[in-house]
Amino acid sequence: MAPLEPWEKVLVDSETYPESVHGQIPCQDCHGGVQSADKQEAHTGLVARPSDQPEIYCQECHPDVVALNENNLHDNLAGYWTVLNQRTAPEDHEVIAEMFGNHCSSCHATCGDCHVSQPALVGGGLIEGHMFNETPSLTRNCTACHGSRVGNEYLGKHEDLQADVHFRQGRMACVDCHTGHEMHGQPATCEECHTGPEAQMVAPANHRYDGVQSPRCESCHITAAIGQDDIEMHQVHGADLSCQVCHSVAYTSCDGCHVAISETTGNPFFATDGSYLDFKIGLNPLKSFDRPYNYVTLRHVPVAADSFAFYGDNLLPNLNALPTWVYTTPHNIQRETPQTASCDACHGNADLFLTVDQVYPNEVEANRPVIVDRIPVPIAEITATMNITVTSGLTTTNTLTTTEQTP
Amino acid sequence: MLKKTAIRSICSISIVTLVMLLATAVLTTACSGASPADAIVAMQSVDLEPTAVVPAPTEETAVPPSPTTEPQPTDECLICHIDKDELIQTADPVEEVISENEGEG
Repeated sequence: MAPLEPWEKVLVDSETYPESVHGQIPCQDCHGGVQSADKQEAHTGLVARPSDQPEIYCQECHPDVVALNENNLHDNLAGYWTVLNQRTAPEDHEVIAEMFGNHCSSCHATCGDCHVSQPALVGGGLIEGHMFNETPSLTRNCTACHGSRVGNEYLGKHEDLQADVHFRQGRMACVDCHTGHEMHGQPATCEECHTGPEAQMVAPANHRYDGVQSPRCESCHITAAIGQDDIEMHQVHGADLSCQVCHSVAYTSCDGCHVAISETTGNPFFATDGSYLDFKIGLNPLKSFDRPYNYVTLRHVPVAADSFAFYGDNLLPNLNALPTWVYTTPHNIQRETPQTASCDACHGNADLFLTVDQVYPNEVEANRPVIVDRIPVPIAEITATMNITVTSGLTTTNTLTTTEQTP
Repeated sequence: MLKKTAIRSICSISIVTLVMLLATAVLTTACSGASPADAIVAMQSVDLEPTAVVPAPTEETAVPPSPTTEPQPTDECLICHIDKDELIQTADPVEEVISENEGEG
């Protein structure tokens, strides 16, 4: 996404904006400043980004959304702290908070970063002449931040890898799965907002892979969920493999992120040791009623024992509290993938599985919960021991027969 | 006697014929002297005096509406922020910040 010119960032559309709902509000009501033809004087007391304070500038008209904002992950960045709190020691949290402020907090997004301008993280700037968009733009809002992994995978920007079928054929945008309900934050209990039967739903989870899957593939692909389609692999593996194990392709993993403050400019920066396309199947570290899978796809996150060394020694003493190969849901779904080519595309194929020899020695302990000790054996070995006849093709309904079933 | 009468008749006929020939010659000369283009120029050069009288408009006469113009913003903020050229001229100089990040973020 090319950066906007300075004038483009603040150019208001004279035809559409004054006619819009927000265009009926005097500029100064949200942006402060004074009425003057002189720029410097006009910008006295300017509030460039009113939605930095949604309770002041947005709540009057959008009380329901602003009330949930404290639970909005885009606003509170709680996901970072979910991980940091487990890997760091409480006595170091002051310096960790300093590090967070320098290197992580720029990911914070306000209402306006999604609905009226490009996110500040990528330079900001009005998207459509100050028009407020109920639906954020896929490329200018969502993947402007979620670009290096989700965006590149979903839009097919990796060489030789197709875009996600939901984009390639369905032209689906992020919001088609990730609704405003998910984006705006959720209260501690459903009955805070709902009074009907939905008020008795399971409380929102504390982790994105906890609790009821949302979004969930089976919400649309319903026959795959209840095992009533004619795809043999759905009947055989529907409960023990996450959808992505069979239907995603290579995705980005990163190694060794380190953060520091530049001696020359004084600006914070990061450097990663490397990023690469990979595909790894491992054990499910978050197995639950809603995610009963034995195997899931894993992505290596770039945390290292010395990631925060600029700020002090041993600031990640509990690095092993969480795997560095994490449960992931790649956004490059395809109907047909290398894994769906045949049974032995996975069975007996050690390259696809995260075995101990593929983990950095200093990260083995952290990844015990996800490392695969024994990869699934080739189909030929199964048929030899069980006298099973395998029909050709993967999509037939002619299932396996065993000696016990033979008269 | 008869001879005199005959001579007079011949003279009369000759005079009439001569007058007719002269008239024909005069007319032929006049017509051949003006080309069609000369005639158009001549028509154009005629100053026509208006003969119809245009009635003066009265209050009851409907006046054709003039093209409406968008109401101009009176807000100083909008006056500047809808004017691309003004924004270009008044923009602060851009300080190029070279990212020191390395690798995927």
